[in-house]
Amino acid sequence: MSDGLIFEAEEGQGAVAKFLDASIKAWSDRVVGPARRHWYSYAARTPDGDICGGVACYIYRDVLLIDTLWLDDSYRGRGLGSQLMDMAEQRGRQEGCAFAFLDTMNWQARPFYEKRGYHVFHEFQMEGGTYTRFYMRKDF
Amino acid sequence: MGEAARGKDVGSRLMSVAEDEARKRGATIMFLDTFSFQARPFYEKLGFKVFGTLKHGAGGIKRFWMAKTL
Repeated sequence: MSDGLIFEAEEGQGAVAKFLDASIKAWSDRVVGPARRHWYSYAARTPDGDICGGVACYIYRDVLLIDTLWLDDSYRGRGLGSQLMDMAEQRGRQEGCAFAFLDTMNWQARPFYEKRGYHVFHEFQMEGGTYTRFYMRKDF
Repeated sequence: MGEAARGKDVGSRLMSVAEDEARKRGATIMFLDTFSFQARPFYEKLGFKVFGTLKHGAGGIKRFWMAKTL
């Protein structure tokens, strides 16, 4: 190209991806004003100190994203997921979030989230409908 | 991208590099999310369609999910 730009590739989420992420956040804050953005998580540990479940959350402006909820297989079905979600949502409410949202694949925990008051607001079909990703939200 | 690179088609060229690479690696769908104050019209020009919208509680901000079949 006449402008002399060189396009280079980077594998993984390395320095380039991090630079771009920081740059788009700075740009967005210049355009619409400074935003709060922060992560928090809750982990459940066994008496031995191993993490057997947890939830990772991200607050952006007035929205709570439930990014990851995971439980070790042997800790499923005991209400631990609900306990973790209670903690995650309570913190989001305390921080003034208007709602929480998340996405989950069709083989994951849609019924669990529905029981907690989340509803699907969009779904996205992948690989010709073999997989579906559900986007769910819950208003506080 | 940096301010100096805007409006010079650098965005389209980057997206085209990304799409070619995705096709090469066997991807059949490309998807992204963007906010209402960002680049929805740009992605629409590239053939992306909105499949989901999420309105924030305050500030009139919306988040759009967009997808394109490769």
